[in-house]
Amino acid sequence: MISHVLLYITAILLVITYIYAVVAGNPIYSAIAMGVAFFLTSFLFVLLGAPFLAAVQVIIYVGAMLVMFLFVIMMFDLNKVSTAPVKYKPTTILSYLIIMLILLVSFYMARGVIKLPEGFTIVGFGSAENIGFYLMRYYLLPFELASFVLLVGVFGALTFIKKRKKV
Amino acid sequence: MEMNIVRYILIFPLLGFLINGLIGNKLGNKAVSLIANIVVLISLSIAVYLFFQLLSMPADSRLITDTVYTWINAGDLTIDFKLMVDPLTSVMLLVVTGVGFLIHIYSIGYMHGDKGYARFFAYLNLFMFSMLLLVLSSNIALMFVGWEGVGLCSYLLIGFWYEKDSAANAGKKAFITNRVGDYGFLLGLFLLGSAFASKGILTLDFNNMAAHISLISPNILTIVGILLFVGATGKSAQLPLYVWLPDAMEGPTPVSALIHAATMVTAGVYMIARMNFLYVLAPTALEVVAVVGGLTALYAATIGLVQNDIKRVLAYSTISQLGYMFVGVGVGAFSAGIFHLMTHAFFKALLFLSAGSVIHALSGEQDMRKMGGLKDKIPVTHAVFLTAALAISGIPGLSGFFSKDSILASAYASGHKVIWLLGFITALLTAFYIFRLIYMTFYGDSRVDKHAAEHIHESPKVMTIPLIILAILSVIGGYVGVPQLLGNIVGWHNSDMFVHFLAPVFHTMPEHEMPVSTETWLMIGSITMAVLGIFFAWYVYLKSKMQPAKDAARALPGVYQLLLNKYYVDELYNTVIIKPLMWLSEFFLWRFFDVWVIDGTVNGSAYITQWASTKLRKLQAGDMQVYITLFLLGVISVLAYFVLR
Amino acid sequence: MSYQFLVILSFLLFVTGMIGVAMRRNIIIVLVSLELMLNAVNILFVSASKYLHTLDGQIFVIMIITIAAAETAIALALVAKIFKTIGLVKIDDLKKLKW
Repeated sequence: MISHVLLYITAILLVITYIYAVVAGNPIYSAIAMGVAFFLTSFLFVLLGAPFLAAVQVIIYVGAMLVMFLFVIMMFDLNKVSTAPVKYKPTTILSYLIIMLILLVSFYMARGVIKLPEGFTIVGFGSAENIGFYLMRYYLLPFELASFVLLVGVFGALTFIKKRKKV
Repeated sequence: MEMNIVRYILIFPLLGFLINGLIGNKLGNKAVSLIANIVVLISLSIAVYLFFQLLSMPADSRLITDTVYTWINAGDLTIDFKLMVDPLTSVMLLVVTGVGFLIHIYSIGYMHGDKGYARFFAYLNLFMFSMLLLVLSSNIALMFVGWEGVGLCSYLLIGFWYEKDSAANAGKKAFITNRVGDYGFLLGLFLLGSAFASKGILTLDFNNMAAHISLISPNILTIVGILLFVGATGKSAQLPLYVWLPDAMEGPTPVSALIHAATMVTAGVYMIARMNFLYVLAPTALEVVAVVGGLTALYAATIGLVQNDIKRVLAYSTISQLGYMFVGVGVGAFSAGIFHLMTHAFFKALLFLSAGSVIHALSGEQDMRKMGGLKDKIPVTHAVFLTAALAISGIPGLSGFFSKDSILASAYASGHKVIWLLGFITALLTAFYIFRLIYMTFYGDSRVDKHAAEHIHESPKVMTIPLIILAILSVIGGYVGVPQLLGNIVGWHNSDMFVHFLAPVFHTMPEHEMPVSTETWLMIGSITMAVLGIFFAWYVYLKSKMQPAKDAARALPGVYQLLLNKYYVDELYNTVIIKPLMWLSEFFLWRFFDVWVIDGTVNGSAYITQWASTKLRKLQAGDMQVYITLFLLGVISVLAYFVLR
Repeated sequence: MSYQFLVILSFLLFVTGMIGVAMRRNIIIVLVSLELMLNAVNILFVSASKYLHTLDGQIFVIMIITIAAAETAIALALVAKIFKTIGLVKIDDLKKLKW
C-alpha cells in the first residue's frame, strides 16, 4: 500500500520536475532540475525492485553527467548567453500533438495484449549479485562493447579539446 | 509463278539513287550519268524479259509474283512486300522504263552544266523506283507507298532549282494539293480494308480482294470508288485538284516530260484500272470518273487555247488528255484507257522534250510570242514536234488516232453520249491548240529576240536521238491496238492485240456492240474534227499573220480574259481556301493556341514547380530541431502502423 | 500499481523530453531534454523487467546509461568547442545544414 502511494507521489514529482526542466529559462535551473529528476528516478527504481540500478543511476547520471553539465555551463558562462524564449512554432506543436495522439491510440489498442501478474518483489531480484550474474554470463559481449564505447567516448572528447596547430 | 528477278527492277534504280545521292558530287558528271542510265537500262531489260515471259505463258494464267518479305504482321492481318506482274503491270513497266530510259539519256544533254547534276539524277532514279513500286505492288498498301514516293519526287524535282521562289512554291503547291487527294485515297483504303475485315477477310492484296469483292455491298464499293478517285484527281490532275500541274512547269523539262506527262500523272488511271474489279460493281463511281474526266478534258483544252508559254500549253494538254484516259476507264473500257495512256506517254514525252529542245535552242526563251520561223533553223526538232502534234490530234496512221478513237467509240457505245460529245469537241480544240503552238513556234516571221537569235542551234545528239526514237514510237505505237473495223478493211490480222493482251486482267463489262456504220461515222467524225482544228489554226495564225490575240480580245474580251487567266481558279482557291487557312493558322493556332495554351502549359508547369519548391524549401531550414520533429513524426507513424494493424 | 500506469508515465516523460528537444533554443537545455528522454526509457525498461520477471530489462538499462554517458560527454565537448569558436550557443545561428 505504501509502495503504491510512494509510487504515485514519485511519479507526480517526476512529471513536474521534467516539465520544469524543459520550460526553465535559465540553463542552470534546467540542469539542476535534471539532477532532481535523476534522484527521483533512482527512488523509483528502488520501488520497482532494482536497487543496483538505483545506485548506478545516482553515481553516473547525477555524479558524472550533472557535474559535467554544470562544469560546461559555468566554465563558459553559458547562462549569460541569450536564452530566447521557447520557440512556439505551430507546426511543431501540431506535430507533437499528433505524435502523442498516435502513441496513445497505440497504447489503447495494445492494452489487452500484455497480461501480467501483479508486480511483486523478490528479495535479491535486482540485486548486484543477480545483475552481475546476468552480465557476466549472458550479456558478456555487450558488456565488453560498452566499455569499448566508453573508450571511444574518451578519445572523442579529447579530440575536441586538443589545440590544433596552425599550419 | 514466282520469279525473284522481279525485285531487281526496283533494286537497281534504288541503288542508283543511293549512290548518286550520297557520293554523286564526288564522282563527276560522267560517272553519275553512267550509273543513272545503266540502272534504268537494267530495269528496262528485266521489264522486256518479263514481258516475253508472260507471252510464253497461257493467256489465262499470266501472273508472275515475287514475295520479297513480310512487311506488316499485325494480328491476323498480313501485308507482304510482294511484287506482281500481270499483263497490265507489264504494259506499265514497259512504258515507264522505256520512256524513262529515253528521258534519262535526254537529260544528260539537257542538264549539262547544271550544278545540281548528281542530285537531279539521284532524284530521277528515286522517282523510277517509286513509280515502279507503284505499278509492281500486289496490294493497295504497298501501292500507296509508291504513290506517296512519286509525290515526294515530284516535289523534289519541281523545286529542283530551289533558289527560285516560283519553283519552290510550285513544288509546295504540288505536294500539298496531292496530299489533299491522298487524304481521300487513304479514307478509301481504310474503308475498303475494314469492309473486308468485317466480312472476316483480312487482306489488302489485289487478287485476294478481287476474288472476294462480291461480298461487299455496292454502296460501300461506290463510296470507296469515289474516295479512291479523289486521290486520283490529285495525282492525275483532274478537276478540282489539277492546279498544281501548270505550276509544275517550273521544273526542268525532262521532269515535266517524265513525271507530268508519261508516268506519275498516269498513276491515277492505273489505279482505277487495277481496281477494276471494284469499279465494275460500283457503276455510280465509274460514272463520276467518266464525267469528271470528260469535263476536265474540255475545260483544260479551253485554257490551253490561249496560253503563251510553250510549256503551259503542254501542261494543260496533259490535263486534257488525262481526262480522256479517265473517260476511257470510266465507261468501262479499261483497255482503251490504258492504251491511250501508253500512246500519250510517247507523244507527250516527245512534245515536252522537243519543247525543251526549242527552249535550249533559244537560250531559255519559253514565251511563244517571241518565237517563230524556227523551222529551218532546228529541223530535227521541228520534224519530231510535228510528228507528235499529228499524233495528239488523232490523225489516222499515228498512235494517237487509234487510242483516242477507241475511247470515243467506247464512250458512245456504252451510252454516254454527252461525254462522247465533250470528247468530240475537245478533239477539235486539241488539234487547234497544238497546231497553234507549232505555227507560232516554227512558222511565220521570226519574232525571236535579237540576242537569242544569234545562238540558235540544234540540240546535241544525246538529246535528239531519244526524240527520234519517241517519234518512231508515236507512229508505230498504235498498231498494237488497231480496231477490228479497220483491220478488216485493210486485211490486218492482228487487230485488237492490245485489248486481248489485257483482257484477263479486266473483269467483264457488258459488251457494247455498235453497228459498223455508226462506228465508221464516229471515226470519220473525229478525223474531221482533227483536220478542222489544224485548218483553223493555220488560218488564224499563219494566214492572218498573228492578229488573233488582239482580235479575240476585242471581240470577246470577257471570254479571252477568262481563259487566259485560267478561269481564275487559282485565285478562287486562294481566297476561299488558302487565305482562311492562313488566317486560321496565324491568329488562332499560332497566337492563341500555341502561345497561350501550349506555351502557357509548359511555362506554367515550370512556374508552378518553382512556386512549389519555394514553399517546400522552407522544410529544409537547416534547423535541426525541425528535422528532429519530422523524423520523430515519421518513425512514430511507421511504428503505429505496425501496431495498429 | 499496474504496468499500464508505468508505461503511461514513461510516455509522458518521454514526450516532455521530446518537446524540449524540439522547441528550446539553447543548446544546453536541448541536451538536458535529451537526457531526460533517455531516462524515461530507462523507467520503461525497469518496469517491464519487473513485470516480466526477468533481469534482461535492467541489463539493458545499464547499457543505456553507459552509452548516454559517453554521448553526453562528446556532446558537451562539442558545445565547448562551438562556444570557443563562435561565442554563442543560439541554435538559430548553427544553420550550416541548410541548403
